[in-house]
Amino acid sequence: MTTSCVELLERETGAFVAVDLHRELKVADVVLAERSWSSKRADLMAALLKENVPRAQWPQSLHWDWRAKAPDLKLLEARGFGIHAESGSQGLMLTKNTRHVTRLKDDAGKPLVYVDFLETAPWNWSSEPLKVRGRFGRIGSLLFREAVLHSRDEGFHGRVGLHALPQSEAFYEGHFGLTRIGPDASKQGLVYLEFTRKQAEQFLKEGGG
Amino acid sequence: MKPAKKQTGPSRDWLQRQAEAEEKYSSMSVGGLVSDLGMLKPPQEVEISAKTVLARLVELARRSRGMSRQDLAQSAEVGLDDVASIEQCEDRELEPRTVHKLALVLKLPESPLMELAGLVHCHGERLGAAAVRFAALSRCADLSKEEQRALREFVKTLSELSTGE
Repeated sequence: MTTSCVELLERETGAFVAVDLHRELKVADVVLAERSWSSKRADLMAALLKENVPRAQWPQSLHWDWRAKAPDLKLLEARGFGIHAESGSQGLMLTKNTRHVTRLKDDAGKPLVYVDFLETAPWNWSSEPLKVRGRFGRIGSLLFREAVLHSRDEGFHGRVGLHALPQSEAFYEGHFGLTRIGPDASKQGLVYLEFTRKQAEQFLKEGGG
Repeated sequence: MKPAKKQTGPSRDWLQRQAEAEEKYSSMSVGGLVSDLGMLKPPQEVEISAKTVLARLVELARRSRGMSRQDLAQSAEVGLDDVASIEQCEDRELEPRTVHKLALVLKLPESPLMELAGLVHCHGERLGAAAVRFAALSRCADLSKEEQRALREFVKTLSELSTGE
């Protein structure tokens, strides 16, 4: 498994914590991660119910279960990425690198890396209504960066496509500057966004690479 | 896949900006809404099989001794394909002799190893729980301190099981 060391930011202490970034997760890795995440999901749900937090403000990936997606890692086109600290898995990403092509005019029809799923561990979520601050920061950014690097290494020039959950659209569009293609009827109306070759080059030039 | 280009880490400045952005946006999840994913249904449980645990144990024990697969196969006088098959978790029947020889060379207790290989059943739940813990902590990359500890603890449990403690 290809692994490297990355630093997360522990929000409470402001300390940099060295963790492992794994690039070839196996089915068992993802199953084990979800095993530890699922009890935290349940705790969070209980807290949200107790505080009468409206459903619209619940994290939209709260009910996810990576065990349902894990078997995809047996597919040749799939690649699993994960950030792992001593305390357990901190974030997971599943990408696919065939069957997906860019929908933007400039590069229309060219292959890209599609981010099928990306999520950080539930204890890293900050929740305004519950007034909790997630433990580690940078996980989503480092995983997205891996998708861009993976695309570059595959010869796709950093092109990445993804369907963001509504609560995450601003992160990918506003922060990383992905191009918004629009709601996709084939994917529950989720907004589809793409990172173009030019955007990826700029992203990597600005320090992401 | 094309050979990976040399990857340099992101700059501190970039990392700082990401940390700030993640504070601001809070959600980064990509995927689908639960209703369409069948994720509310009980997922198909993907079991951590005994062979997965055996694969990791043999691989980590071999690497902790600085041995290649070939070294191990030669020392244990077993086929290289047997070693590869175990480490790659292939669904293949193992000969008790192969497991016995590997246990000797890797200095692992034989009977729990036989159980992980599916050749006997005697330690039940205690071995199962220890195996899941080990699988959760062990990875297949370089042997980190965490992996070394996981390996040590698991081998200790296996030894206790084999001596009936």
